[in-house]
Amino acid sequence: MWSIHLSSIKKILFVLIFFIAYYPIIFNKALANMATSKQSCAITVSSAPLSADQVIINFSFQNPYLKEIELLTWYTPFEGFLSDLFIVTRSDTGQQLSYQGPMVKRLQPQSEDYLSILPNEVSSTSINLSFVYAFNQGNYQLTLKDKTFYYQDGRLKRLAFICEVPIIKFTVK
Amino acid sequence: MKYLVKLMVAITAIITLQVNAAKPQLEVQVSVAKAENGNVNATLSITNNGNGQQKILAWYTDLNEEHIFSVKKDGVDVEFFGPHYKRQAPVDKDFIKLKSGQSLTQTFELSALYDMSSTGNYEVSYDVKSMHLYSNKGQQKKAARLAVEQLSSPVAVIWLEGIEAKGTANKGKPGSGGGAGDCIGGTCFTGRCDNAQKTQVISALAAADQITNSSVAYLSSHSANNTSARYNTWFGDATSARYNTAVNHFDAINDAIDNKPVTFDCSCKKTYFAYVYPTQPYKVYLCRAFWNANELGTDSRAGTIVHELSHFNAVAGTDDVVYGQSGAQSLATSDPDQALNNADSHEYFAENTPNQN
Repeated sequence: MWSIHLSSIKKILFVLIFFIAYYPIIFNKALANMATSKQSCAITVSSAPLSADQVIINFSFQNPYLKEIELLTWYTPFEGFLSDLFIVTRSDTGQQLSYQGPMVKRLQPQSEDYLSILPNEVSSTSINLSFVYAFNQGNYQLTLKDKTFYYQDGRLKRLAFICEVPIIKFTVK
Repeated sequence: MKYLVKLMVAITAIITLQVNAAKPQLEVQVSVAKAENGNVNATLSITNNGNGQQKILAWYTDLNEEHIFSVKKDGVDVEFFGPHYKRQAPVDKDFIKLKSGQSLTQTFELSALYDMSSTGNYEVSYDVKSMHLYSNKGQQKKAARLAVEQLSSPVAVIWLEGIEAKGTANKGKPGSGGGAGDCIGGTCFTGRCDNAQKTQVISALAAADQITNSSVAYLSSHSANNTSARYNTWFGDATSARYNTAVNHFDAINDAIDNKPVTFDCSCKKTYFAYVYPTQPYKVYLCRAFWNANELGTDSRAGTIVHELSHFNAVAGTDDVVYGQSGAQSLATSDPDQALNNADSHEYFAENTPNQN
């Protein structure tokens, strides 16, 4: 009776010690594997009403990995408008705004198409959506399309993740 | 006596002017030759036959700056597609100085700036009228009297065979043959496409028509529950809804090639293959990688045309979800609905390289 009890306690203690000892490693591994890191991408926009020709948003990306990465800027806001990046809808009608910009077919990426980002470093860029969407007065919802973001690590292996951002709202005056 | 000297000087000046008018100090010659690729090169030479230095306004020696040639096809003026700059009055540094006996020679490709794609007899001459051609004082006085300055060359003549629209790519298109701007059999050109580029585009469009016809034929001879490697590689698992989407997309691409007024623009100098504005059918901007590509095969000219046409909202409204063959193959496995929204997936299905049944 006692012996069984003792061995259970020993097991529990062993698991506890193991977890405490290895906690940082387990935690960091979970962080490094977080491929669809919702926290790593964000869009922010002024809460004050925007004018129709100055719908400027800020896109930021935090490197969620424990290593420096080379992010391919293709199909990301870091290259500006060379593809259809966003879903912009009018809040009242749900009508989606059509993208008026170009869609570009390119060759293989070159070194200048990559952006180096240190571990935990945040890279951000501001772009004016008015260049490629026709805004009128009203409330809008905005999110990033599900685009695959590609990056290379130190060994130049091509890796991918989906950058998800929560829907944000803004007003055009 | 004083008055007599003044009178003598004045008479001498008049005589000098008349001599200038009789024998032009600046002699202009133009020769025209057709290159193997269909381009038309005009060589302009301006020679100073006078004793003193002559100055000529630089932008009237450059076709990329001003409309300096008169081009006539079978006696009718051919429209100039080059730039029209609004400029400030010239200053001294805008003039090229030609010493006595010195020549200025430069060659210009004409078919990018004048529509020379149809068969006919073309007459080319240098012909410039301007208030600011010379900076020479005597010439300016003469110009002021005539209200304009003029410099021209004898006419050079060349016979050109036209570029023909081949195959079935242009059947039934509106506005076929001549008429509306720079068009060949319903396919139009903007952005200074030269004859070599027009020939390549017409040929690539016929190849695009061929691979699109093959795609349509595949889709009509298979079905959602009877797909094969070719479909599954690029579009993944089929459902009847997805299969219908593929059918509709390729029918629309085929319709655009056969029946819509597709315009190609050659002004892009970037390393891209091509781009479009999806809201502006049917204009396709071709860039450097396009001209370096093969006509058929992976990432070819024909496939690029299929890719670009699929982007138009009026055609298939596709997106660029992933790029390249490996990206498109992964997408077909992981997200077949997105594969049917990806332009490259359509291109690779149509190119079918390496060949799959």
